[in-house]
This record gives sequence, structure tokens and C-alpha cells, in this order.
Amino acid sequence: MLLPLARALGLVCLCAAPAAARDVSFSVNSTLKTETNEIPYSAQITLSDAGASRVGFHSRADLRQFQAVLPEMLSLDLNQTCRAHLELGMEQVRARNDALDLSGRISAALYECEGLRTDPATRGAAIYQQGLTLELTAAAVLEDQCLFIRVDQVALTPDRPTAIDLDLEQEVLERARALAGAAAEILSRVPICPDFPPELRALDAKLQKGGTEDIGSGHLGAYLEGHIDVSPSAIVALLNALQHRGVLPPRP
Amino acid sequence: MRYGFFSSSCLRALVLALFGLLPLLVRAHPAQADGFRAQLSRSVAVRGAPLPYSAIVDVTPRGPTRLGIRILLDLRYLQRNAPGLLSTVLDETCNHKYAIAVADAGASGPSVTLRGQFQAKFFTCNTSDPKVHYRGPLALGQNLNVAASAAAVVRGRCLHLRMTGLDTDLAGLIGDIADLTGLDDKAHELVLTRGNEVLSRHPICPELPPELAGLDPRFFGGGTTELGKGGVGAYLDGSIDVSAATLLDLVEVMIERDLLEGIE
Repeated sequence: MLLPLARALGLVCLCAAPAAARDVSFSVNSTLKTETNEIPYSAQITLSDAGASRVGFHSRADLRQFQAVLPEMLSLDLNQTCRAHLELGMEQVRARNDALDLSGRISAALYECEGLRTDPATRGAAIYQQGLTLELTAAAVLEDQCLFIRVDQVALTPDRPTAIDLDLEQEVLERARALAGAAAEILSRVPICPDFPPELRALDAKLQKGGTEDIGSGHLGAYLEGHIDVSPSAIVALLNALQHRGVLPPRP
Repeated sequence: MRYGFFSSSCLRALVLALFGLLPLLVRAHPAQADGFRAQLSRSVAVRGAPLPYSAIVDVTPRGPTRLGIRILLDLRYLQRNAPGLLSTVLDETCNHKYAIAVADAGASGPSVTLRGQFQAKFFTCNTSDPKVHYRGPLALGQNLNVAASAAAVVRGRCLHLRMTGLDTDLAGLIGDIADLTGLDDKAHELVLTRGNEVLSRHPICPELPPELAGLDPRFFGGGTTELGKGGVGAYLDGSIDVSAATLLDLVEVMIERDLLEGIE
């Protein structure tokens, strides 16, 4: 390589060869908080010198465990009424570039139902049954310093076209779309936020961008990028953390 | 002696100077809730015995990109031992012996005062040879009560102490006026001149824990101060410029100490 040689000879102009910015990297174990659970994940955080009083922040999280619980988390049986019974079985969740592809199956049945009854026990005979394939495409958006996964495309494909009663088919599609919407809502309520180890909690990271990513073979990862403004009080907080952990001598 | 604040001779010089006392302005330095404070405990061997002393380091925000740092040295144990540490023969030849006998040291506000006796003894002797075994009988003995005051200045990261004045007071009534005048001059010469020579070679350079030293504090002020009632202390004031590198330095320390799981 010519660069080290040139550098050794003092020939490299800083403007031509961007100096390798100093950085430090470490890993952190954290959890994603769903409404009913906490899903562990690990992230690699890199802090880099990004100016006199600014530290760049780059975190890459491995969310495979979150990905593994999503099928069960998003399988729903919410739509049981006198009139209808729909179940969503989410089957596959894959990362694709900066998107998330989810697919599953919906089984739907419509029943005879008198008046305004809602209790499934009061329903009459089944009048229409259909299976549908659900495909969702989602992308992460940055809001309030966290990533949220928002579904932006919903595709429903009935197993068999039916010409018997277009109204019934339309009703099933609407109910299936509502079910997909409920799953999307659950997915959107899991924030993916930057998380520091306790020693660094005092640092105030401001995110500028982030998203999900394919970390190989469709496995789900996420990246978060931003900066930390270096303030005297942040340095004091780090000194106090070092003292708390016994690296620096105690208070009198 | 990586963490020793003073060498033994430096320590003696320090105490000598503190006796000397200098008016130095010392502001109260209240602990701030948003600051960092640590106590360093050290000891230094003086005349073969370990003498403990402590320092309190305060680090507090002082503006958008700056931290203030103060190191307060508690020298009260040394102060109590000042008579034993500082009493010494200053100059001795066949025909004379000059010594300082320190009685006590104390601080009052920013001033530190060292009190004692300058002792002169003159012997019948025809030579200025320093060997004392030719010495004849004591011809004259004269003591002066002395009180020295000292001042401190900061250069680099070190506190330099300097005696600034010496008040003398005739203790006995033996001797004629010429002798007394000569003695007064001799006391000033030996205590101030030679004392300051020693002091200038022994600045106080506090060793900070490496995690703090790595922040590259620069000291620009300091002095002596009163701790409690009459207790002798000294302090250094400085500042630390904070930057991205400062933060990265501390994160690296955390990785080195296994507080964070580092990644190559």
C-alpha cells in the first residue's frame, strides 16, 4: 500500500487523505419493550471524534430475537363476532434491505347473524369461507429519538376467486384488512431506541437517522446514527460513573 | 513514589515555607451537586517515617467547553509535626553555629505563619574551617524569635512556595548593637535566602490519578489556605478544556477497566 509509505514520508496532505477519525467501539445488551414482554438484543456502539465538541454515535443492533417472536406476537384472533370469525397466523418475517417483509395466512368465515347480535354463540350457519394470504411491507421511521416500524403496504390475496357473491368477498376483504391493521398497530408500538450502558446514560445522544437492515440471510437488524454534544457536565457525569465503579477514588 | 506529592526534602521545604506564610487569596470552594469530588490519600516518608496527607480534587463545569479543577491539600498532619520536620542547623563552622528551632506553624485565612527561634552560637576559634573539633568554648549565644511568611505561585502544574518576609525579635539582651544588627542580617540571609533556594528546587506537583491526569488539566493559580481553625492547607486551581477527545478518552478508560465490553 502506498498510503503508509507516503504517510511515513510525510507526503500525505490531510485534505487529500481523510485522516482516520478516532473512534471507540463497545457492545451493549439491552431489551426491546413490547406491551407484554421484553425482548433481549445486543448492539455495537461506535463513538467517533466528530468535531471539537461533538462525538458521532453509531449503533448497530442485532434484532434476531425480536424477529423470532414477531410471528407469535402478530398472530391474532381478534375478530370473533356473531357475523364473522377471522384468524391471522403470521408465518414469516424477513428483513430486505431497509424494509421488513411479513407474510401470513388469514382464515375467514362469515355466518348468518340476526339483527345486531355480537355474541359468536348466537351465530347461524356459515355462509362464506375464504383463505387469504397476507403480505405486509414495513419500514422504520425515526420519531421522538426512537425507531418505529410502520407498515406501508398491505396486500391480501384470496385463495380462490369467487363470483358467487361479490358483496361477501368484499366484506371478508375489509375485515381481513382491519385484522392486518391491528397487527400493524401492534408492530408499530415497539420503539427501538438507543440504549447506553449505565455508565454512559448521562450522555444525550441525538439521533439523526436510522432504520432496519438485513444483517444477513434476511435476519433483522437496526442501525441508529446521531451525535452527542460534549458538555462539561457530561464529562463530570462520566467521572462520577468511574468513581461509582471504583476506578477513581471515593468522595471524602 | 509515583503518587507522592513531595519528596522528603521538598516536604521540609514546603512546611518551612508554610511557616513563612503568605497572604493568598482563597475563595471558598463549595461542593457542587453537579461536580465531581474525590479524596486522594497519600503518605510521604520524611526522616524515615511515613506522614499521611490527603488531597481533595473538585471538578466542576465552568462554561460551555471548560471544567474547573481544584486540588486542595490538607497539610495539617505535617503542620503538627513541623517542629520535628523543620528544626535544623542552617550553617555551621568552627567558630559559629546557626540553627532554626521551629515552634509551631499556623494558618490564618490565606496567610501561613511559621514561628520559631533563630539560634546563633559563637565559639572561640581561629579558623573558618567547618570542622568543629578545633572549636573552643562558647563565647556568645544569641536567639532571635522569628516569624516567617510565605507566598505561593503556580508554574506549569506545580505550586512554588516562597518565603516573602521574616520578622525578627530580640529574645536576649546579651551582645552589643553591632552584633545584634549582624545577627538580624544573618537570620534574614539564612532563613530567607537559603530557605528559598531550597523551596525553588522543590515545587509541589500533585500527582493525579491517571484517569484525571489524562484530561490534561492546566493550573494557573494557587496558594495556601486555612483549614478548620489555623490548619495549614494549600491548593491549586486550573481548568480542563473538554472536547470530543476528552469524552472518548474516558470511554476508553471504561473499556480498559472492563466497565464496557470493548470491540476491536
